[in-house]
Amino acid sequence: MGRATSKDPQALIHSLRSAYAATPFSLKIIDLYVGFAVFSAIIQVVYMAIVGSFPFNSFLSGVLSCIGTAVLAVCLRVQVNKENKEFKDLPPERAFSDFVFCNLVLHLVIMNFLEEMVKPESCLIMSCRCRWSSCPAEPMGINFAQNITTSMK
Amino acid sequence: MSPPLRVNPQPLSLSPRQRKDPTTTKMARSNFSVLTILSVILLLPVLSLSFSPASPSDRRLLVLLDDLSLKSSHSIFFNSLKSRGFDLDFKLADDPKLALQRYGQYLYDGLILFSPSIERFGGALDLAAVLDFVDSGHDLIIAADSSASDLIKSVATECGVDFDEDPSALVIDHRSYAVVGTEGDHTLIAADDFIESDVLLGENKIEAPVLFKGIAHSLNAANNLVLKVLSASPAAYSANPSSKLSSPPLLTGSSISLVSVVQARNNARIMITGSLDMFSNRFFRSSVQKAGSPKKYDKSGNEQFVTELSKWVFHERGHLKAVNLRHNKAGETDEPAMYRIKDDLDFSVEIYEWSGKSWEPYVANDVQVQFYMMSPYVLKTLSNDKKGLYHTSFKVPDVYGVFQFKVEYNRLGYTSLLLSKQIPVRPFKHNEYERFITAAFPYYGASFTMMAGFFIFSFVYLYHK
Repeated sequence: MGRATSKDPQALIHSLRSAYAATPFSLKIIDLYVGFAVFSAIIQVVYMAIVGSFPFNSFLSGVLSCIGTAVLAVCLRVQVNKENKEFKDLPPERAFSDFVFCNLVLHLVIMNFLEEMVKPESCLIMSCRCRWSSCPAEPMGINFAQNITTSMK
Repeated sequence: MSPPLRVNPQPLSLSPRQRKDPTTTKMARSNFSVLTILSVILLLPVLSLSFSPASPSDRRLLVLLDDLSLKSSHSIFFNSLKSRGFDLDFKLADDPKLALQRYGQYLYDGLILFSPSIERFGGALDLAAVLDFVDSGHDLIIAADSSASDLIKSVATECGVDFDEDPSALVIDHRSYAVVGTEGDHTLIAADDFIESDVLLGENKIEAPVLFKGIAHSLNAANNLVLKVLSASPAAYSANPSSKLSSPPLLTGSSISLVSVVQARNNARIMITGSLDMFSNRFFRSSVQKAGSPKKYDKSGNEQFVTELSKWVFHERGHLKAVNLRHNKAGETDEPAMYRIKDDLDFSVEIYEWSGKSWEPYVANDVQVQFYMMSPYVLKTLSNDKKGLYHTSFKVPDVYGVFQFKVEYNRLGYTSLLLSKQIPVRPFKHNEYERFITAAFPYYGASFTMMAGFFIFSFVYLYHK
């Protein structure tokens, strides 16, 4: 192995670029799309770090919509790549329809999740409270509706 | 209470059919029957007015005596009951026709046992019948004396007090005896150690000591419903006055109860005393001077004490009822079927006390409501408007589940109030959460950008060639 020189990184980048130039245009579009999604996810994380995590559901849905989009686009890229022998039997039309369907599901879920549904102080685990502590015995249980004992003789 | 009057609508529905009948005689008869029924129906409101309104006070009392001479020797007590509207039925305790109930209905609302020496009741009455009578919410006064039989003692034991086992023992007090002409054996006691309770003994303080001559009893420690109303002084003890004390007496000091009361969980009230003479005209009228005290009262406290306590026993005082339990969201009037977490709500209940004649507003500042789900999440003291209406408002806690409004009011001498009403509490609905939060706009923007991006990408990807 030769020693590293200052020319090596340049040569590396150059060879990468020349190799990438050979990539089909359709894959380049996907790469651009993935890059955009990851970039907006990073922006949101930075924004959350500055502003705080108050609308946490909204934050999650915003970031997850970006991540989900990126993941689905990467999956599409894997499937439509001609050099990938694993999916050589899968027609690209089928791969694209899968991509569209998964995106529809993803955005439906994101829309549903976008509202702030969980109040920070709201106690989700409610019924376990006091079940084992020293409560006075519950004499009538749950069928106690409207049972007003007014001691009429 | 008299059984509710029922109107049978059957005869009315028959009459139109009869009217269609062709024969004139039947026509006339049907007209007559219609008239009769109409007049009865018109008179019904008037008739029902003559029935007494529902009231918790006792009306019919059975008085069991050893000896009918007690009727005259204790006449002041009996007359005071009669003047308060009670219907007294005097019977000998061994009367063979004695019965408390007939056809499953109780014939009496209260029982006075002034028959200490009876070994066996006559008729269908026995220990179990007396206890059933109390268990069904009726009231009882037991007076024993030195001749108390095992039967009377066992009735008292079942009610939560134990009379002294020694049949010859009397309560003796060498310090707070009542001064009489001769020195005597100090078994006539001037007791003034009353329980401090206006509801039991009336608002007027009993000034003069109460004369007591009889046997001692102690409270059963396991029974927390029994109360000592008149306690013996610390110097009292229970022993046979005519023999020398060979061993220390079992019952001494203020553990001796002279008069006790019980309010059962079903609000039946029981009064137990070891002195039948306490109720007698002789003690009522007697002057009293406590040993060591210079003050001599012309009249003993017996009459006031016994009268006031009997008012309590027979539910003329201290009987509460709670009605109109209401709750609604703040600003609304209708009672909702369900609350949401963090709703503001108003709660109100009306509490009245029976005064012997009518329901009067009950005024107290210690009535509390609980918003309860296995433990109280909210406990608030209710404020009242002096007219019996108790009210408060609070915020539903941030917990959902099936809650109850609970009012549990147990105060010395008053009937216990136990009210509860179930109400579910739900979390926020999906559309009740905050929307369009400013801080979340970048996230909204990102989500919509991703959607737009997906659309544009698909377009470009499909048509780039």
